Amino acid sequence: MLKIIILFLGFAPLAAQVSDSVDQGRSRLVYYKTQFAGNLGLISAGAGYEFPVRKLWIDMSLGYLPKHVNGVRVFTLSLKPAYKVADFDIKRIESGWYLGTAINYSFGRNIFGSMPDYYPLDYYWPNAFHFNPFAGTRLSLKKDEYKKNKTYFYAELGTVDYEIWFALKNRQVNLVDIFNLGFGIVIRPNLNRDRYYNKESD
Amino acid sequence: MRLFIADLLAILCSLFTSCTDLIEYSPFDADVSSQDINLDHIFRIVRNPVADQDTFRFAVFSDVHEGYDDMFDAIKDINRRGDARFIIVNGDITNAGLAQEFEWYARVIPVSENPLVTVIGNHDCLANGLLIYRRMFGNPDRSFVTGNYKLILFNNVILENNLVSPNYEWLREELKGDHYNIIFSHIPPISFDIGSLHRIIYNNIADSTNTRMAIHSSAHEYYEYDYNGIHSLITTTVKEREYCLVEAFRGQFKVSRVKF
Repeated sequence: MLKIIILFLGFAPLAAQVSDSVDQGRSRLVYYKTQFAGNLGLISAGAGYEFPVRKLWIDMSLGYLPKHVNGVRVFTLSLKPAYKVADFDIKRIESGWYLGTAINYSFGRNIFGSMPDYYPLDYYWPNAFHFNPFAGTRLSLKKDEYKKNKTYFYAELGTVDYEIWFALKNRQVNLVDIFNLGFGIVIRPNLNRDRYYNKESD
Repeated sequence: MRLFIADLLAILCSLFTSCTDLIEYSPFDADVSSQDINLDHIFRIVRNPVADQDTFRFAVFSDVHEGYDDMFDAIKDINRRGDARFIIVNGDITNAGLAQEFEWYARVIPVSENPLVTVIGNHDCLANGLLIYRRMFGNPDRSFVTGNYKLILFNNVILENNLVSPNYEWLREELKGDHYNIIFSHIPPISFDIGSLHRIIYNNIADSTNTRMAIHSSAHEYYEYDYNGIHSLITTTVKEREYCLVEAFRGQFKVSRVKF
């Protein structure tokens, strides 16, 4: 558990180092995000890295569902790769569609990454892991590429692995029952902005 | 642009308010839309006592897990027969004790024309299942009387309850009195889930002097046997397209297996 959190906390600065090392044309590969719902807790926050091809990105976030909301406290560590399948721009709005799946590991009471010893071997699958496939769209204003931080608003329609299985097996579970929404904001800081201004002044 | 953002916010707000079902915080959340369903159904059973105090018939099935279609078909078949006073679902209504599973199960309950009472199972106690069951169905240890019979729902899940002991003192008190007592507990006492110590405690509390019948499940196989002098039944999973019809007559029981 501690190792995972350290890995998580170390992810953002590591990603920032990668970004600093690339040239100006590849700036703003690192981003920070926060999300509401979408099976990542009431609120989640994390950091990610967008690969230079700008089609693929991956982020890691930690979500929190406080106990006062529905009586249970759940932390969710999420690794979330996504692939952009389409771009569309409307005047000054830059937008795109993407697909992905979150790999979630939850922490909480009676949630196990490996089942306790008192269970017979292979009696249950560990229940902490879930896959959450999703389709999303993100919107941003077109701005000067070098001067400003970039902010995206995104919405994702997702589901959970077991819900897909239940819907496939049952007439009583409709497809509309298995989807959920998540909303969030992504901020991609322009880490090379100062370098750009320095160059201009030279 | 301001107009666009206003539109976007309006759409998001309408999604928040009108589609609350679409907002899920975690698979392990404990938010449920129904409360204490068992209480309503038990009231319906108790309010309409049997004309002949000694004779009635009820249906029992179990281990629904993800088989909501099978449960739906079983209930339809019981409705069609029309000779069961009520239905007992003897535990394992979920696979992983998740709120969404409980919700989908509860959605099928209104199909039943008869009262339907739900017993807790070991799978229902996984994750936050015990809390969700308490919210949705009420106390897992519960009893009610109809005619000369006392039906006792007893939560005997141990492993999935973090090795917490079942409430044996409550069971001991419930078994006192002159009723024909029937115990519904998901885990059969012969199962490995019940350790030898718990088996001894249970055997000392429930025997042929105070318990006429014990109905268990979990094994996904049908058994009818004598245990500690008690007429005992283990129901198979409803996914096998089978339920049991139990006919009670003056404290004796006849079990029929019904395929649908």
